[in-house]
Amino acid sequence: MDSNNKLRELFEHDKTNVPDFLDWSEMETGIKEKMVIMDSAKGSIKRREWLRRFFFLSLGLLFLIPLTCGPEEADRANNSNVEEQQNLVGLGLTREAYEEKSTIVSSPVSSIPPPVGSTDASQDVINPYQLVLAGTTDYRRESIAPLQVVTELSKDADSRVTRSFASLPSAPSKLLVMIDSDLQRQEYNGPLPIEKNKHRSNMISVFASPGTWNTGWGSNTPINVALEKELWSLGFGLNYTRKIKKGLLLNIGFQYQRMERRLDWNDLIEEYTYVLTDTIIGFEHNNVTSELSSIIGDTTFTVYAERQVTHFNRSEVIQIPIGIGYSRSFGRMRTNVIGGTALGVWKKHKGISLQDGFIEDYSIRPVFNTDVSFSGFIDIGVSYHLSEQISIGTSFMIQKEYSNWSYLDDVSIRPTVFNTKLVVSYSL
Amino acid sequence: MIDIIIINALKKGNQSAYKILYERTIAYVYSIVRRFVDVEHVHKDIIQDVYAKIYININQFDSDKGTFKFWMRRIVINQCFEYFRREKRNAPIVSIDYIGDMAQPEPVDFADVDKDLLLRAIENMPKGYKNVFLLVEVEGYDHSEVSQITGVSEVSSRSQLSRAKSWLRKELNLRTKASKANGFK
Repeated sequence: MDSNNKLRELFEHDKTNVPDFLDWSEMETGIKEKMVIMDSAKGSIKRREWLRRFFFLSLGLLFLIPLTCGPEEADRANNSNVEEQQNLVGLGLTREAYEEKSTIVSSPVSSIPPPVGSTDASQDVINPYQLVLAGTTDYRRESIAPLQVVTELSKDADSRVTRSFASLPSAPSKLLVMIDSDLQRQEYNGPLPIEKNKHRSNMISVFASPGTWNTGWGSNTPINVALEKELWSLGFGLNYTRKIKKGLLLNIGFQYQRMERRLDWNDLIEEYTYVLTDTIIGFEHNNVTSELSSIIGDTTFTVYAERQVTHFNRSEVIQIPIGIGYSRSFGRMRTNVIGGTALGVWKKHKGISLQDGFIEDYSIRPVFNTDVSFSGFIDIGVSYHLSEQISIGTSFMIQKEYSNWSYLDDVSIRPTVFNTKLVVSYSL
Repeated sequence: MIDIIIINALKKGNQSAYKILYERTIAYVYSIVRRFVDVEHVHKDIIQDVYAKIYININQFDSDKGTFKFWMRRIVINQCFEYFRREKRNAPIVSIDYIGDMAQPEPVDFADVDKDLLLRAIENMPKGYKNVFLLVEVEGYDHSEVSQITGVSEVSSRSQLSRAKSWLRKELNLRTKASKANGFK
């Protein structure tokens, strides 16, 4: 033990002369370069890891959406002729039945030669329905009055159907003409008008968001708090909103947010030197003539001075928000509330700050520790449909950072961002 | 060596504190690097890595857990072994069949040994022995810590130390005899 201590002492006192190539001036650049490399490697690994997680989470959520949509909902979301279908239901037919019958009326049925001695008008009227409905049991689901007729008639089974074919008149019946003209009118006039409160569910929105923010200092605040003031800044982004079911929405997006601050501070300069040019620096008295003449020249003064400095500091973040919300339509108006979380994947800080009397340049060493950050948000908005697909709106969003931005253990910085969004949406 | 004011300034990213820390610690850092790595032209590179790591990870230093000197020393030694791993020069680890030596290493008394003789002998020690010997006998790490730093098992570490001491004993005897012989001449 004693022996070991002596060995340690021997090495402790091994004061090797530091060679010249290890002088700070020689090493500074190399060390800083390595810091940048290590920092970026560390940051990119961390960022890649978060992005990977976020990507798979988003992917999982996107896969879940179709599962949560029932087939009927999916049809309604994707089929623009929902109302047309509803009108057809009133006639006891589905759209497919309508199309099928239209074909029957226009081509094969009408081309059948008229039977000899058949004059039963009621049979003429029923025949087309019997032909279609008895042949396809699916139609019974949505038929009401005609179904009863068909049920009675279908007791006769196929033989009667065949007989019905044979008994069709040469000229189309009144009902056939009516249905046929209805179908033709739809073809010419396009789809039936959509009710105002049936807006499409999935939409892509672009927005600009002037907003302000609050740095969110904790209880322990550094010196620069009193000197810095948050400014209104601009953000913009893109959102994709998908209806899950019954007013529930899933929202995913991309958002650029800028946060700006103004730093005003005064500095007392103890020795401020300035030069006065072409000024009177003295007087010359001529003893003979008693004339007093001035001497012009340059002179320097060293004085106390107060310097007023203003810096505009800027932090930038790109975020991927994911949220779930609820929307409700009133005629052309739609309101929605969305809450969720956002991952800040990249941040940049520019400017200067004062930290405990030291001037900190953000570009050299960021004051905020913000490689990756998480925030929660709530967004309340209202929009107006200009047309079936395009709507404009506005929303108010509050976003609060979960992550502590401070490098210092005893200081917490969790900013809150307030945004007023102007949104233009396109329904898919 | 380094007071808390400098460390706090470093934590705040003060640029001038970087220089102060460097100038106050470079002799110590260099002495460790030189002790472990005998290839002179890589010293600069290793030391740059060491300081870059210190500056980047300064926020992880907790004065309640130990002194700055020990924290920094660990970074220096880890960086030296990082170099070995890169260069694959740490491979010649002695096998563990020499348990006999390991069990009860004969004590070596360095008190009576000439300082220069001892330093030269350690400098010429085979690499595998030297690293473990320096880590345990000079830096004061135990075998579990040596195992973490070098990546060898604790058993191997004990074996290496035992062999290192045997080697050193023989080497010192030889050198002492040689110097006495030279003295008589």
